[in-house]
Amino acid sequence: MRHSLLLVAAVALSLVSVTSQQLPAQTAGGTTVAAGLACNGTRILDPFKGPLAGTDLPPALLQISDKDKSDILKSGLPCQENVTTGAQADPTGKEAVGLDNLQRGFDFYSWRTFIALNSPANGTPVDQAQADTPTLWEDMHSFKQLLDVMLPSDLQPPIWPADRAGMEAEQERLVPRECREPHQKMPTRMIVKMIEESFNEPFKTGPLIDQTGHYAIFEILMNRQMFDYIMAHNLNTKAGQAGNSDLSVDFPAGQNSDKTVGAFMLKISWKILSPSEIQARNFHMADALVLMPPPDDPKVGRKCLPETLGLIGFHAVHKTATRPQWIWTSFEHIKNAPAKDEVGTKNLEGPYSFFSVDCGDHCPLVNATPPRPWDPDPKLELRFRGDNSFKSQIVRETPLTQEAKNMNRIFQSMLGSSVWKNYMLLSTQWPSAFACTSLHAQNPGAPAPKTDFLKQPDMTCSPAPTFLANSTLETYSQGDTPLASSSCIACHENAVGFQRSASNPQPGKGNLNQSDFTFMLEKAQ
Amino acid sequence: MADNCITCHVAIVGSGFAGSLIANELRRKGVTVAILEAGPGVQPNINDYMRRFYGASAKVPESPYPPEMIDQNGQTVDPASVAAGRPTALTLSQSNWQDTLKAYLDQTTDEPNKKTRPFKSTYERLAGGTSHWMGLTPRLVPNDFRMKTTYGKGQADFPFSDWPISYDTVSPWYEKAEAELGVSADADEQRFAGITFSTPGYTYPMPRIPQSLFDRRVGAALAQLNEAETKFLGTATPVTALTVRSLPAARNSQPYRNRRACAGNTSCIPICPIQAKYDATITLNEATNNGAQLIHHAVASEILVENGSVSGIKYIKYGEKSGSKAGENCVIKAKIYVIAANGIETPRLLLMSRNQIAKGVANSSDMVGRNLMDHPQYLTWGLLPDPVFPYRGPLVTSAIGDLCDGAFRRQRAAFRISLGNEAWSAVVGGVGGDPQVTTLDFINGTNASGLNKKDFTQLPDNSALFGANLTQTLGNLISRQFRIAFAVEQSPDPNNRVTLSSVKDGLNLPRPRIAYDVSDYTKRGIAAAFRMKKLIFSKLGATDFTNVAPSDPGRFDETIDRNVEQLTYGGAGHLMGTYRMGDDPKTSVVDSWLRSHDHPNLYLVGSGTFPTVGTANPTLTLSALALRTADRIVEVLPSFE
Amino acid sequence: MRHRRQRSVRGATPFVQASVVTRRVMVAGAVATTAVAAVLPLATAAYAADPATDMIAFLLLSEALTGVSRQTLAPELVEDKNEILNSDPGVDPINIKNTYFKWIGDHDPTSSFGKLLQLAKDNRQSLGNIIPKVNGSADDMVCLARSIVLLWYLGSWYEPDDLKNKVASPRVKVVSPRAYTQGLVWRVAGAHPMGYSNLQFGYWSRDPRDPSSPGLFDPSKT
Repeated sequence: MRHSLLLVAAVALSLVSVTSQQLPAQTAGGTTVAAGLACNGTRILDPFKGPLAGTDLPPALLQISDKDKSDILKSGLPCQENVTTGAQADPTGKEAVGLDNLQRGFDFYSWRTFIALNSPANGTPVDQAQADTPTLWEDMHSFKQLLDVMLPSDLQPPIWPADRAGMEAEQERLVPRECREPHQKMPTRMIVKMIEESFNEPFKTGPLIDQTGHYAIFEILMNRQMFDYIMAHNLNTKAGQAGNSDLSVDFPAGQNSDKTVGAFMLKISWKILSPSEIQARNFHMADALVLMPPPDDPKVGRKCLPETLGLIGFHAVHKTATRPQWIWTSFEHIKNAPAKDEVGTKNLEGPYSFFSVDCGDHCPLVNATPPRPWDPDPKLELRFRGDNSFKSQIVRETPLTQEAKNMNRIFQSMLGSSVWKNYMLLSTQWPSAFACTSLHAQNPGAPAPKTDFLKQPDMTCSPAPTFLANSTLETYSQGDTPLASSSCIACHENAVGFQRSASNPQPGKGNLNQSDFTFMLEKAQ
Repeated sequence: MADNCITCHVAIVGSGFAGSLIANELRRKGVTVAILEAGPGVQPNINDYMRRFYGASAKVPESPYPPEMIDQNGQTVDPASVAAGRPTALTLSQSNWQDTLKAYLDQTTDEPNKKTRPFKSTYERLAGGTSHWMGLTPRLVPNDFRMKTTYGKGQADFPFSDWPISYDTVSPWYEKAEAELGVSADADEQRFAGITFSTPGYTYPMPRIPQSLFDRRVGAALAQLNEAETKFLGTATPVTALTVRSLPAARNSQPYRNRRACAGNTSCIPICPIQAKYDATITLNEATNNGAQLIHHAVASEILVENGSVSGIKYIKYGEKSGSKAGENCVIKAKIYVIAANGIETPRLLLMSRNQIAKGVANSSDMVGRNLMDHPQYLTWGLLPDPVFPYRGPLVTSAIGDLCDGAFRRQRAAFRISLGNEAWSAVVGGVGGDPQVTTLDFINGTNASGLNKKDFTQLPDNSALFGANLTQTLGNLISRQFRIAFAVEQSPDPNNRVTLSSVKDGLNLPRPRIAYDVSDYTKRGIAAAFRMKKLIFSKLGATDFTNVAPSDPGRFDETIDRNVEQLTYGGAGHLMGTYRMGDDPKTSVVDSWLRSHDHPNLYLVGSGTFPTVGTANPTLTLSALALRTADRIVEVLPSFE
Repeated sequence: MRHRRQRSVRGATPFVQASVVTRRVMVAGAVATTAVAAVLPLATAAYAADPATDMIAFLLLSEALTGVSRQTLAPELVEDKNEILNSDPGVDPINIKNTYFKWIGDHDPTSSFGKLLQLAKDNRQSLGNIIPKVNGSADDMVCLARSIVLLWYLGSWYEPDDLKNKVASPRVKVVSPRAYTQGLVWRVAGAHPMGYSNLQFGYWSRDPRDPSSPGLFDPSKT
């Protein structure tokens, strides 16, 4: 499967022409044909001719043929990873070390995923996308906000109709009262509620404040397959989860063979764009309404603020049949923060969104959390402090590998003059111990596991790389200390829900309440 | 300095459990609060703590936390150079427990002929307080609050007093504390020894933590006992079975307030890598998020009293590096002052504050520093006939609590039996010493663990092994190791006390001096625990490996069943009794609200207020009392405007 | 053979086993260089350092001494059935074997490491000879061998001299946080290092026995 095991030539390596990532066509009656994201089940391999290791990227590597470029940009969302050793289209194009070779395969898959999800919803080619062109993932057809699924139990449960009119009606239903009026004026704006998780990083590690003194904003979304599973098993409420104690949560997995997308989760970070940033058009932009927390004075209403948000961080997590620990990839805007080894050199290419180049002797402590209190003051709208006295000074602790940087250069060159050239892949974290993952893969032939270690052995299955952090989403837990520093899989494997009922069932009985690597279930009300 | 002359409504010394809980409650009610913390503030993440822990060759309670008391060369740092030092497990051995160049606490004695025993508990001094705690949160039982009335009749020198409040008074506050800390337990299972719940149909915030394999093994072994073999316990009704119950713990069994559920990392002491175990930084962060001011690296040095009321607290700010004295004296002024610095540091501060008052601040009773109590732990360990797979799950999941109360308390101390899931980690080679000791034995052919003998290995004594022999031997033996700890109640003794030493710390403040011993009443409890151990081990079919090192400074001999047995005790990490509560100002330091009898605007909180200690870990009780006191402070504050 | 990785899983991306694995020279990849750069003692005429095969020799030696399969010690090991020394030790995300290899080379004050590696190479056809030969060798070699085993078992380095003198409190240093988390003794006992568990809530109330898991203790064999 890996490393020195060479692929026997029988595998056809042609890049088959691909599904367009345009939304399913609207029929005359306003209904659409297919529900949810579509994916491409063809095995598509990276055509880059040469190893990506080393600081000097051979110029030849950057000369991607037009056909290759077009194929990649239009290849669509992968249903499943196509990663085996030596699997690159060009046999000379592989890394020497097996692990690096597989990493390259996953990174290629991640870029394809990023491009597919961020392609314009209206079918325009991605390399011609404007900064404010709405993307596929932002469309209500593809992803739903977590907050719109985990509703309070006094509201009707969430639905996700197949037709556009139905989806719009569901969205209308959930628009907060304070946002209705501005929403009417411009119904396409997304709505962000400033709850704890929207401004405070996981486990309350802290908010992130940009160089204009504003909060960064976070949101979490799931795709239709994930939603369907949650609703089918009543996992959208605490009571529903508790009533489903025997369920072993197992979200559907993406598969090439039957073109199933599988479960997909997104975690996005946004920045409030200033007028000059809006004009510069270096960020993918979305108009939004941001609902502020309630002020102290109950007579004053909650504000619903129109803002233009710029995309700064993008986690995409995909469950596939062969990686039941999911595949975790992360992208960032190239101007978020410098890498630690760049600081102090003359190579700093500011301005950065979360790092000041010219603070001289008065720089805030690097990667320090802001001073408390952290909660947004409704009077200040989205500014952290009235006097703008604090701005986060963030550096990336772990540099990108040279291979990742080189792949980024290739993709950025393919993305031409579109806004997407301003984004870069950090890495992809994937479970590397194949024997471990195979125990959980959809494998009808395997007997039902009986013992602890067969059922749930090292659930992390040796993630590669061991640690991964996005400077905007795991800002304060960067590092390489086991368990304490950010690792997608190591942290998410501890996610549980509320399946267990109040009194303990028999010891040793069945599974307990693991929620299949997502913290979404614990947000149920 | 900018921090000089801080004024606020309430000043709190110490950001541990009690201090943080009170600060948080006060902020919720709009009271301005400033907290002095002797050690560092809250870190953005626990990377450094975890790195230190993983890299420590001895996984002792202090191992993750600053200040580091072992330097690069493996030498103990002299506490005289440390600004905010504290006792450590590594300075409790025969060679260094009385060496003030190594040990923070001065446990020397002026009386060369007086046998003095080590106080073996340690604590931390940094934001969040003693985060190395185990996380166990049982309640005290009703009779713990009324020892004298219940068991002291006709005994003039019965050493216990009654609390000025009853279990029923504290019960609703227990519930609030359980919600704040996030306690996992089953209410029905906890109804023993008279425990009741004030809310009808009360359920704990989270379901109980699942039991370990060892818990179930012990439960099965003790399900049927005959009266003759349990007669020694001296209970009113014969004991014919003992129930193993999940111990309530501030350990998430479900997602709770944005923290993960326990994943069984088995390092509760000293640190939970995923913060599934509550620690006070959680509440402290809420308090500061809500406007409480935290001044860290600030050691309170003197309480100032004018006209019978506290007029301010002097404190010294120092630099980041241990011992560097950066700041000068500053003063914090408030309407009400709360000292929450733990059972040793609080009396130390009070005794350091003379103010021309004859016996010192809050000390008209002369009780400040007296009645220092711990829960001496009778530690036992052994080998089971077949595997039970320790080193899995929280360090302790269950206990036998039913023997914590009974008629026998007239004569001897009660005990709670806690079942350990960490094999011999805490008992062989000192705390945090195994499996290193056992592993080294079988690789290098030594026998520090006691296991490297033919009886247990079917190999020659002191075998040094490689290969399959090694894996099989270690796998076989380690998977059968267990430990059981008996947490014994300690009776109060005014001669067990905290005073001031002539040796100083890095800020030139006198370090605490400790005089400590274990009473006959308590020793009889340990002796009963010894007999209980024999019963349990025989029911388990276990081989007993419990032993007392000849050099153990705490050891004592006790005649049990006509044999002279060598016994000793370990520290539980509990610091109690040193400013006890009571109704009578002549014999107690604080009233039932934890307000000083002597100074109307001074509150002393924490487990130092406990007149008696029962057998329950003190954290939940001190938290409940702290919440009650916070409520009281809000009520009385207007009268101090 | 016990190489699980070659098991085909239905539904997985298909792969085909190669019939021949070419000998790989350790190319200077970022991770591979760490092992190659280890300073090996060249003092004895009997031993010549050879980066390509030394790591395999180290794995064979370690497997024999620790009793834990080389597949567990080097999860990405791909074996050459014809000549084991031509195997590819592989690179896995944690790569603890490289850390230990370098550490030993840096901390062995004698020339015993080279001698032990040679011993392993010489006995690679009959690995069962390694233990008796080590036990019969000079004190320095035996004690280094024991330090190596302790390294694998506890992620900590015990000074071989202190082992030789059976010092009551030997000098010991945890190599790194990562090394501690890879300690084998807890796994041998069916558990995990204290403070580092990859298991999930509630696992401790279940019996861990898994007879088919390689490298872990099988209690039925005692």
